[in-house]
Amino acid sequence: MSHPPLAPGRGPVAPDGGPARGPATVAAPAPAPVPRPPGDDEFGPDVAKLLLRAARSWWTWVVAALLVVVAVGTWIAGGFEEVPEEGLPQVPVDARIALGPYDVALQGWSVSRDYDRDTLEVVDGDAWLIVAADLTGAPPRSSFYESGSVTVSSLETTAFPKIVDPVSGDYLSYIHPGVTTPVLILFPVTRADGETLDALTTLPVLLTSYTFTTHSLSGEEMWLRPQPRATVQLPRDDSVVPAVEEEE
Amino acid sequence: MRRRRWTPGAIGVGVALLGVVVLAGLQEANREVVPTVATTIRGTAGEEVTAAGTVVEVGDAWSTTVIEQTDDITDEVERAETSSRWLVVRVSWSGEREPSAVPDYTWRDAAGVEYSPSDRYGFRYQAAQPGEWWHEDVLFEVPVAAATAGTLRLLPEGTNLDLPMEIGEITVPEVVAVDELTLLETEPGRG
Repeated sequence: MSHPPLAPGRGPVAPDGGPARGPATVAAPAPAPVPRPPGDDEFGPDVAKLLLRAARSWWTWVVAALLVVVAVGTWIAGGFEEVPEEGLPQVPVDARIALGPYDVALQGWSVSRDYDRDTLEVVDGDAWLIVAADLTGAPPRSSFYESGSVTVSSLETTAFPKIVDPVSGDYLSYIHPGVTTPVLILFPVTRADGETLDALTTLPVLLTSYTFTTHSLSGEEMWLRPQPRATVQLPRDDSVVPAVEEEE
Repeated sequence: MRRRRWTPGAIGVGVALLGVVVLAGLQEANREVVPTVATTIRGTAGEEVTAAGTVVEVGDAWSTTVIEQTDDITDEVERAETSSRWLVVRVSWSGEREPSAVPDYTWRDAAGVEYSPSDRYGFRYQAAQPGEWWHEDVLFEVPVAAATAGTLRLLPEGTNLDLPMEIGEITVPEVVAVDELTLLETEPGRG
């Protein structure tokens, strides 16, 4: 028994050259599927095809180009790094610096472990860093104290700072436009930070300003967009403390 | 050609969607339109102004550099000085239809700058019954230029957020300058 010839690359052909009718060859039994080892990526070839298709799409390259432009633009604009304090102007003590909702003039600082112990315990602090300052409110309306407007380099407080009246010790809520209010800014700090501060004679203070603008979600006008503005090397002045010591 | 048949599930979903659309339309058609923009009610010192359910009358206004007031808790008389000006506005109020008070005040000067009450003013929210009057001295700390004349604004923010909001604006054409002043406590009666 002879088999019809097979043309290369084609199916079986009849002796007259036409396509063979009926089974020309006996099909060999299909090989049993080889079981894939566990963890083998059976979608691998499909993913490769998808990647190939994506690479051929000009949309892919447009999006990639946009990402590159955004990344380069961010890098040129300074990236997401904080503005280094070294690049900020250092202003003298008592200089009046406009921070947006108010102007601030710093005078001195000290550390107290005796003032308002009850509040210290509530906020898990061991001592108060006390900074004496004059705050003069700015238009268009009375403002609250912005807790980030006066900070100390690399110091993390145990709670938000507060401002109090230097004479009565009463907590203050508002700073009024055109009115200069002497205040003590109270920063609750840990025992370790208190000891570190006690060893200092000069306090590195960072002043941050705000812009009066409309909140993008609520539409309310408020002081937003904090921006480091200046630094002050503030000398220690323990005389700020007795005015706020609690009487036994 | 196969004929598409509507199953009970499809019919049920369609009816439910139609119901939602009809109910939403009914809700929208019958919705009470409540103005969300605050209405400003204006008046002048000496007049009764009704805003946000409270009848308010502004009396005299003074400016000074020294005030004395009695502490609400300790009853001690406290004396306070300022390098700017204390602005004191005497305000009387009464409930319109139910017990009410003015939750918040601001003073607006001629330039449009707004001042919140001084921290020394404290929190004195005292509701007055309809027909009953209370009065008090509202204290602001302002620059000299803002202590000659201005507008006392009665703000509904605080405890009364009913809509529509009503803001009262009472013009105070004259502020009398004095050397010092003793502030009244919140007292019943018209001031």
